[in-house]
Parts: sequence; C-alpha cells; structure tokens
Amino acid sequence: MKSSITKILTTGLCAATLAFGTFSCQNDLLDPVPTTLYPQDIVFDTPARVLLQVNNLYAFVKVGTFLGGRVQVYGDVRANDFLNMRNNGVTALGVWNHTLTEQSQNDVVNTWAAGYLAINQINVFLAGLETNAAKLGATPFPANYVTTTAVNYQAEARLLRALSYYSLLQLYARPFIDGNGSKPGLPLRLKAEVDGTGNDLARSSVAEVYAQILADLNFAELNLPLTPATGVSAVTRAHRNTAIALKTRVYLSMGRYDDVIREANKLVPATAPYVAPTGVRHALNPSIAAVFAAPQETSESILSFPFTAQNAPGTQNQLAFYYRPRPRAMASTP
Amino acid sequence: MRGRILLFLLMVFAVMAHDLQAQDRTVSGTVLGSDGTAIPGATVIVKGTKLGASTDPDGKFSLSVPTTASALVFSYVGYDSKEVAIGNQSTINVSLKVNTTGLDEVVVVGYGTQARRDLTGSVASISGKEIATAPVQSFDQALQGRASGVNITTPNGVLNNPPVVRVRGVNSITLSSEPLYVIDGIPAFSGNSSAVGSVPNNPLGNVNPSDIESIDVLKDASATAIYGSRAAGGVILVTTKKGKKGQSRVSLDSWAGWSRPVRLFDVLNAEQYIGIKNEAVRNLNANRIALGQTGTNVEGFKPYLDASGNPVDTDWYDYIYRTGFSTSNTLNFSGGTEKTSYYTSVGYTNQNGMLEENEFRRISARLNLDHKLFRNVSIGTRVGYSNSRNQAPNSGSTAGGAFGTAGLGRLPLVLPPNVPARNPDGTYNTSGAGIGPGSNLEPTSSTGARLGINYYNPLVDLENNYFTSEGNEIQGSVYASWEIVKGLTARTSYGINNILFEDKSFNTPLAGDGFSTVGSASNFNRVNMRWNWQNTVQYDRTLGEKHNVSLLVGNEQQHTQTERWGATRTGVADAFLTNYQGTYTNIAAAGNFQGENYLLSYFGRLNYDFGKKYLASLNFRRDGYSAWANKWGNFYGASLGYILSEEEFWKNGPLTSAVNFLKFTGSYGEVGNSQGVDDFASLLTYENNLYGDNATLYFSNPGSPLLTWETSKKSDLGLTFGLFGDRVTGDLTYYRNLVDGLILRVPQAPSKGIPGAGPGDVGNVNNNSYLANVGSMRNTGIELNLRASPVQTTNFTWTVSGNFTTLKNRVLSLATEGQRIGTATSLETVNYTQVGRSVGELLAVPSLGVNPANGRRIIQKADGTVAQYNHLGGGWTDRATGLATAAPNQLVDGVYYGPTLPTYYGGFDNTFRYRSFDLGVFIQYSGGNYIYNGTKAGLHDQRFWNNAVDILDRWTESNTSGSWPRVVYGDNVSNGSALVMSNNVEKGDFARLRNVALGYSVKPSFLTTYNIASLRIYAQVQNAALITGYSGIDPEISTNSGTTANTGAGVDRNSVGQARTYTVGFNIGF
Repeated sequence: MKSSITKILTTGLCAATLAFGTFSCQNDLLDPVPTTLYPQDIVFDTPARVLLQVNNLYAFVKVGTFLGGRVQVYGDVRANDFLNMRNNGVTALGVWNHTLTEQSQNDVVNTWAAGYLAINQINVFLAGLETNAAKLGATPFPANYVTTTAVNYQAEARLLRALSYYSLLQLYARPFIDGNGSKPGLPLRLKAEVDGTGNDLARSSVAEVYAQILADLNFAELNLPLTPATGVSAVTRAHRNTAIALKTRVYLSMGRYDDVIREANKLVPATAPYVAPTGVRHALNPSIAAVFAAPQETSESILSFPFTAQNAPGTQNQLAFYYRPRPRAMASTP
Repeated sequence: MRGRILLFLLMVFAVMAHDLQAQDRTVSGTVLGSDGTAIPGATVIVKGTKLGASTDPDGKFSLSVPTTASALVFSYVGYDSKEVAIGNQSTINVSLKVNTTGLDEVVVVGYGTQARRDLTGSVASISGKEIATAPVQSFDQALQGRASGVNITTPNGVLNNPPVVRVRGVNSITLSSEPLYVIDGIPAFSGNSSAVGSVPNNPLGNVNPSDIESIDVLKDASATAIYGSRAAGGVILVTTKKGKKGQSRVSLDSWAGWSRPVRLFDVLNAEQYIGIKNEAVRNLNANRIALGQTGTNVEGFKPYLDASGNPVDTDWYDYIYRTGFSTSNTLNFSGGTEKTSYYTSVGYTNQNGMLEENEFRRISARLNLDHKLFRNVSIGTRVGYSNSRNQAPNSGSTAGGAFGTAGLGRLPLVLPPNVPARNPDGTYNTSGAGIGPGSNLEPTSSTGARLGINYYNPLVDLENNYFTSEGNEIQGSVYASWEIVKGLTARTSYGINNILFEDKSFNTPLAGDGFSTVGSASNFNRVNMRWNWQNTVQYDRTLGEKHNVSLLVGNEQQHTQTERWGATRTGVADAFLTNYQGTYTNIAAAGNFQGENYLLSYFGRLNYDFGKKYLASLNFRRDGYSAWANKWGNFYGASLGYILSEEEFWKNGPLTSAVNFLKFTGSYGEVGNSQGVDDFASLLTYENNLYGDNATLYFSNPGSPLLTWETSKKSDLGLTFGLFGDRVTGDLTYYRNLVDGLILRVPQAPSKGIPGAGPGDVGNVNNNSYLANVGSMRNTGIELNLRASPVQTTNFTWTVSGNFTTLKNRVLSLATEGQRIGTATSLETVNYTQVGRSVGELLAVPSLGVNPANGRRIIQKADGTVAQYNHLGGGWTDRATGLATAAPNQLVDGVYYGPTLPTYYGGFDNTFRYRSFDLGVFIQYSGGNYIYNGTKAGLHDQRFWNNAVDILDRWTESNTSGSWPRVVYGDNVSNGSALVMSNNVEKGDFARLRNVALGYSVKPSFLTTYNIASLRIYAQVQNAALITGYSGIDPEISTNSGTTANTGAGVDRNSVGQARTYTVGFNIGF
C-alpha cells in the first residue's frame, strides 16, 4: 500500500509539473500587441505612413475647438458683434463675457489646449523626421526623399505651426502694435514633448513669437512645392502661395504694411487680370456664392479645412451653428 | 501517459477496496426540526468514519453501521449538529435545533470554503434567500444594507443601471473602486457595458437572482489577498445553487410587481407659471429702467387654448412616468443521489420601469452538476446562459446626460406647463428640434418673436426614439477534483465567460436630438471573451490531534479579449425608416474598440489552528498582468485568531453562561488594484484618424512606462462573540485601509500639448497629463454586526439583525503640492478632491440667503465682502456700500461641504414568524454626507424654465421675508444654475424602509394531499417609505457614475429617483 501511495504522489507531481510547464509557455500573452495602436518605432517605416502623419498635422489644426470653428467664432464674439440671449456657458459665453474662471466647460482653457496639442503634434513630427533620417534614406523610400519630399513636409509642418501660433497670439496676447511686440506673448514650444519633463518654459515676448512665425513661414515659402503634387488637393494642403498669403496676414497684424504689400505683390500682380503669377493661380472668383458652394474648391480658396460626416467639427463647434439663422438643436444647456 | 492513467485507475480501486469494511447492523430513524417538521436531506454520519446517509423527503434514514461505531452525528445546514450515542438502539429519532448564530455556517472564501468559527479574515455572508424575491434586475442591487462594510447606492431609477458598490470606502481615484465579482469561481464582467449612453447594461443582470445560493464579501487583506492584484476594492463571491442529496425537488418561484415614481417635485401649473414669469419680466424692466435703460421686455407668457377653448395645463409627468408592471418566473429542478447531484433552472422576467419605454427582460437557464466519478474523483460543471434585453429612454440620468436637453429627468421640470405635447390637430407640438412655445413670446424680442425653447418635446422622443442594449452571455466552468490520498486534493477548473452585446439607438428626424442630423441610427456590436484556468492542490491534515493544517497552492491564468465595432448613420432617407438597416445619406464609424489582457498568477494559503483555539492564516499571491510595464507583483495577507472561549478556564469560569463564544482576530496585508486600467496604458502609441477624406496617423498617448498596481495596505482588528447561549451574536471590527501608489494623472504644462485623446476631443481629461503611481488615501472605520432572537417560542419567533459601519476617508497625497482635482458633472464642476479632505467634497460659495431689503441673493466672499446680485440691474454689488464688486467665484470664494461619502450606513432587519405567517421589515440607513442638489438650482432658474412651487414664496415688496430672491427674467445666477452655491447643498441622511414582506406558508398537512411539499405566498413593498431631510427626489441619486463616481459622488443633477415597487408572489415546491 505504501509504495502505491508513493506512486500516486509521483504521478500527481508529474502531472502538476507538466501542467505548470504548459503555463509558463503562455508568458508571451503578458505582452499583447494592440491591433489598432502603433508603436513609435514603426511610424516612419514607409512613405505612405509618413504621409498619414502629414495629414494628421492638418487634422489637429482644424479641430472644432481650434481653427475648425471656435477660433473664428471667438474672434467675432470678442469683437462684440453678438448679442447674448441664452447665457449658455457651452456656446462662447465665457469669451463674450471676457471671464477667465476655471470651469469644466472653458472656452479659454480649451482653445489654448487645442492650439498647443496641434503645435506638439507638429513638433513631434519634425523631430521624428530628424531622428529617422537614416530610415528615410533607404528603401522603401525613393532616392531623393530626404532632399525633396521630407523637406516639403517640413515646410508644411512649419507653416501649420506658424498658423497655430499666429491664431493663439490673437487671443492670448496684446497686439504687436502695443509696445512693438514687447508685451508678454506665448510660451514658444519648438521641441517634441513626449514625457513628463520640460514643464518649465517662460513666455516669450510677442515679438519673439512673431519672429518665429515669420521664420517658419519664410522656410515654408522656400521649401513648399510650387504647386501640389498630382492627387494632392490645392485647397486642403499648403503650397508656396499659401505661405505667402499667410505672411501678408501676419504682417498686417504686426502693422508692417510695407511688408504686407511686398508679400501681396507676389500673389497679386499690379495689373489685371489679378491672377497669381506663380504656383497655384489664385484669383478672386466672379461669384461670391460659388466660393461657398460645394465642393468649395475655387481658385479663391487658399487653404480650407475639409469636413465630412465621418470627420465633423463636433457638437456646437460648427460655424453653421452660430451663423445660420434658423432654429436648431442644442444638445446641452447648463 | 496511458500507463499513468491505468496506474491511476488501479490506485482508485485499491483505495476503494481498502475502505470496504464489515458492516453488520442497521440503524434507522427520523430527523425532525424543533418545530416538528421533517428535515429532508439531513446528513447522518457514523462518528469517526466517512460512512453516512442522508434523510429522505420524510426525514427518514436507514444506515448500516459497523459494530465498532459508538455514535451518530446528525447535521443540516441552518441547524445545530447533534451527536447521539448508538448503544443498542436500532431506531434513533432526533430533533435538531435551528441554528441562529451562523457561527457554524460555511463561508465561501477564495478557492475554497471555511467554517465561520475558524475564520480569521473579514467576510460578510448574505444568503440567497434574502435576495431571491427582490424585484431587482441584478443581484448586486439587492445587497443594499445587507452587509457591514458594503455600501451600495442606487444612483438612479433606470432599470439595470449598475449600483455603486463600495467595500469599505472609495479605494481608488482614477481606477475602478468596484469590487471584483467572482461567480462560481470565475471572475465576471461587471460595470455598465452599453455603448449607447441612454441605456445602461449591467452584465451582472444576466444572473438570475433565484439561482444564487449565497454571496460572500471578502473585505480585509487576509481574505482578499488570495485574489492579489484585483482585490483592493474587495471581492464578492457568488455561489449558485446545487442539488442536495436525497431530495428531488421541483420548485416554481413567481412574482408580479407594480412600480411607480415617488417624491416627484411639485412644479408650477400653467396659471402660476404665467404669473411668475411675467412678474419676472416686469422686474427685469424695472431693473433696466433703474439703470437708465429702456424697459421694453415683453410680458410674453400667455395661456394657450386647446381645441375646446380651455387653457392648456400640461402635467409633463403624465407623459413620462407610469405604473410599470413586471413579472418574474423561475422554475427549477434539483436533487441528488449518493453519486450525482443536479440543479437546473429556467427563468424569465419581464420588467417595466416607472419611466415610459424603460424595460428589462431576461431569459435564463442554468445547469449545475456534480458527479462522483470514483470514490475520490469528482467532476462537475456550472453553466449559465442568459439573454437580457435592456431598453431605456433618454432619462438624462446615465453618465454624461445631466444637462442634455432630451433628459426625461429634466424635461418635466423645465418645460412650460402652458404648452401642449400635441397640437389641436393631433400632430406633435414642435418648433425645429425643440418644443413649440404655444402662445408664449420671447420677452427680449422687440419684434414679437415666439419664445425659443431649446428643450425637446418628450412625447416625440418617447414615441419615436429607442435605445436598447441586448446581451447574450454564457458563463460556466467544468472541474475535476481528485483526492489523491486522504486530505490531499488536486482540483482543476476551466471556465469561460463570453458575452455578446448588441446596442442600438435611433433618433427620429422629426424633432429632438435627431433633428439637426435629419435622423440618426447607431448599431454597436461588442464581444467580451474570457477564459480562466485554475489548478489547485489542497492538503488538510491533523497532526498530533490538535494541530490542524490546511495548505492550498495554485495557479490561475485568465485571458480576456474585448472588441467593439459600430457605426452611426445620419440623414435618414424618409421618416418611415426606424432602424439602422434603412437608407441614410451618411455613415461614420463609432464606438470601435479593441482590448486584450492576460493575468498569470501563482498563489497559496496556509491555515493553521491549534485545538480550534489558536488560529493563523497566511495568504500569498504573485500576479503577472499584461497592462503594466512592470508585469509582476507580490501580494499577501496574514491573520491571527484566538478563540478565548475555547480555553478551559473560560469554559469553567463564571462568564461562560453570559459569553459563550469569544474570538479575537487581527490581519494585515497588501493587495493591489488593477481593475479599470486601460489594457495598453503603459505603451507610447500612435493611432489613425481622418483629415477630411484622408487617413491620418497621430501621436495619441505618451504611455506610462513605470505604471504599476495601486497598493492597498489593509489592517483589521476584530472581535466575534456569542452571548447567552448564542441568543445574541455579533462581531465588531476596526479597519484601516491605506491606499498607496494611487494612479493619478500628473498634470503637465498645457503648452506642452501632450495628447491623451483623439484630435477634437480637446476637453478630455487625459490630455496634458500622464499616469503615474503618485497619490495616497486612507479609509478607516468600524463595523458592527448584531443578531439576536428576542422571542423564540413554538408559535412566535422574532429575529432581529442589524449592521452598522462607519467610514472616514482622507486623501493623503496627490500628484502635485496643493493640487485640487475637479470632477465634472458634465458641464458643471462641483466636486473637488484635495489633500486633507475626503475625496470629491463639494465646493460651493456660501449663500447667506435673501437680502430682505431688496430681495437679492447674498453671497459671502472670501475677502470678507458680502456680495448681492441683481440680474441685469447692476449685477454684483457690495451689500455694505452698494458699489460694484467682482462676481463671487467658486474657486476663490467657495468653501468645502463634505464628505460626499456617507460617514455611517447600515441595515436593520426584523423577521417575525407567527404560526404560518412571516413578516420581514428591512430598513436601510445612511448619513453624514452632503449632497449638491443641482436639480434644485434648475428648478428655480428664472429663464423660461418652469419652477418648483416653493418659488411662490419669493421676495416681493409685500413679502420681504421670502425664501427665494426677487424673480428677474433671465436670471440664472441667483439660484445656482451658473454659480455653485451652498443654498443647494443639503445633508444626505436618510432611513429607508427598503423592504416589507408579509408571507404565509400553507400548512404541510394540507399540502401533502396534493403532493405539494411547500407553498408560500407573499406580498411585499420595495422602497416603501423614506425618512430624510433631503429636499430632492432621492438622497441616493448620484448623477456621476462609472469611475467618475469615485470623486464625483453626491451630485444630484436632473436624475430620476428610485421607484416604489409592490410585488405579490409565491413559491411552490413539489
């Protein structure tokens, strides 16, 4: 009897060991690979994937909270062109009131966040182009990718960064003409932020921010393609004339009118037919209605942000919500 | 391998043969209860052997006993065991006494069971009987007030909304504070799983409460450590029923119930509404004129006449609430032989809530089998299948819905009563998305424009929109256990828990939320798949008579996959279409999600006692979890116990008659919390999105490469006692839970632009932060359970039991010095979490009431100024000087009101039996907390919104002591809509008559002629009465749910309360 108990014990032990042996094989399950999330080390692997990241820079700039709706509305609301009837805190009441209280629905805080989320996407992409330079110089990338396409992308990124800083400056700083840019401007973030470091950064002056904006736009003017490549929209992606056009606006805001004229002359000849002489042939459209009629891609459009049913600006951000005169749904009211 | 099996089988027979002994006489008899009724299924064992039998349906037994046998031991669950010497008797009749102490009951602990007497950890047990007849959707709802240390709140009255369950306080801030639910050994899915916001779906509602035998709540480190990294919030173990030996039983449980709303707010009728609103317009004009402006606002509130010329006076409650009828039926068969026992059931319940269009339906089936394959090998299975369908209207009571303009909790409070739901021609009264204004004009319009009402017509929503969530769940396991040698048992169990969800929503293009998108339909498909494999070896041994050792070692793996996909279609081709399958002009992907996690664990438990007097227990678990960067962690819990009353000196001492049982216990340990962490939280990731028609790829999450478990250091000191021969029993426990390494979002400079959500989701709290284990928090309190039987006679018994728990929560550290973490209730933030306070206290500016001199709201500012407000009549001024002053600000001038968690709570249960009648009276109570009654703010808002009737006591020239400020049209400040003020903060103390049940058990003598074993009929009222000083609908309302409930408790914003439910039912057994 005793020996058979020993045998049973041995059998049990063997079975147990066998079982435990199979368990350890499952250790790889401890590192599940997500099927829709990309690890950082593969995002510069193919030309197509890099292009997806370029598209993304536009996507972050055009969110409803930023240039996809709210920034335009806030510009008008601040200028006192609107009458406040509903006291609805969700729809720009804070901006209209010029109040800066810390609230869950806060126009002031959210617009700032949206602008800098876009700026960091741009900075992360620019840093990625540099750290992945070796990858971009080898297959599957074409031979001239580093010297042409990558530089074009850099220019697009810097144009969008300039646009973002310019838009934020209009809302969060004194105008340039007040003290010639000596007033406090924005924290000038130019490095990729991906971890918990780098929180401390003093505000640059308005002039310093404008200097960076102009540096970015000058780089963009030099390095953007004259006209977009085949298959790329001239309306929703930047090209050389986009940079020039934006520069006119920047100089206008700075009160540097001679520079405005200088830049504008690059786009609009002094004599008829007033069509841009180089690059995309921008011109005023004979019909103002046609400019806003679908597909909104006339030669008058210098840079537009596309929206689709799948890529909407979000509730109560859309321009039509504010500018279209008819009763409409209001999803929430505090 | 074949050799091994053969060897194994041989051994089995050898062991069996070894136990065959000479058996040479028969003893028979009857086992009765003290009331004289037979006890079927009682166990009779020959003392010192494993020989035994169980009684038949008449309580009779017959058993062969060896000549050497000295005594028989009779036992049955719920009765005291009895030992009877055999002597020369061949017939032994015994009567067993009902056991009231519960000290001998078997408690389910992790991966095993233990007698309560030997327990050194803290475990609360609830019998299935206590919850079987409750008219609830999921069993967790029925646990309210039933166990000490377990606080359960019903946050709203929508069917199958998960209750908020807190074992010994809030145990996390960003992760889940909910306990781990384990059903028959397999961890279950819990929490709202619906993709459609309006309709909640708690997967625990898939379990038929009638199938539950017992529920055990593991609370301290000693009891929970065996569940390691998932145990910080406590563990709730659910055991389903199994067949009993010798009893073949058919049983039918049925009830029918009626639910209706209680304590609805009284709002103004049409005439009062018109009067108050026009008075507000007059006051507005007076304010403007006083400032030298023109007072041209129009007194535009006018009666609207119906087809027969009478003024419309709509009671919006009539359209929204109803008396909902519900039924539930469960049929089960159970029984068992020496070798096999079975329990099988089918159930069907169809419940209609007090809200129109709120329904819950469940079809369920269960099969539990246990079979003795050989003498020492058992196999078995637990399988449950259910289909549940949840439907709810947009109640505005579920997560994120508080300020929706469609919420049914809110609409009857804001909609003008002088406006009809239907036009005289029978069509819906709408204007654009909102409701039509009737005859009302916009007071601020100089052109006679009609009043613009952005709120919806609820009738359009109720009759055309739908929101459903349907779940199909299969949950079950198979096991085999092998007693290798006496005392050494190996067990393996493999279980699955798969749920398929289909969630749908439809919004009509006619009006409401679907108006601007011209109708919308969404469908979502979600699959939760989990497998769980457990292997344990248990060894029980008594050494040298008094050293009892029990050792468990085991391994567990659990793999979970979650996938959801869906889409929203907008622009319906025609209002004829009402579902997703129709044609729409647009479609956008929605709700897509993919997750996967894996938990690999090794664990062990050593229980030791010396002479049932000195007890010790040591639990250990090592977990590897896929979501963390640092995969592995160790968790443990240890406890000691001392049963003083087992000492000889006590037994012989003078106190023994008064104190017959006395046990001291203490435990300490560290367990973890991983529940609710994102499956891929530690990874730096990129994701795809869209730029118009083009795809994008964006940096989506910085990841948290150092992230690991939250650690819960739990200590526990307990005292268990039995007094006067167990007439009074109870226990008293002190607990202390220090949660360390709380996972918090470490805020980053907003200019860094660290993403945490997709483009467009700018307000997401995950932006500009990353997760780290940085905070700490402490929960302390005492728990007291008492149980007594003051009257125990043949005809009349009275049993009373109660539990009481205190809780003190303190936040000890957060991510940064002086951090104040706000938790938003949709558009409003009332709760703030700060070091040195309880989580999520209410921050409100102190209201000093109404200035009797001018009827303005007065607010105490932090700088000492007393400010008063006059809407569009000078705004905020200093009461002392009359000069303008800055508006009070919640963050600057607010003071804390808290805690929002009850500081004490419990339940009080009385059971009376008189002959065949039984009466149960169960009271649940809670208090010490504050509630922000935001609904009250809305009810006194002076826009076009309707008001509570108490607004009639507003300040006027002739009523200068009015309790509400002078009404001024458009004023959303004075009463709290735009400013969180103390006027709307109230105490939350309450006592609720949760359940009163009267039952009658038909006499067995009458039933036997019809071959019926038992029949009980009953009637009960759920939520029968509420005593509270709280002025809202229900002090339990909690608008914030899910993880926001951790730090967002105690906010009542436009939610619907709990229904009162009357049920009648019967239980019949054959």
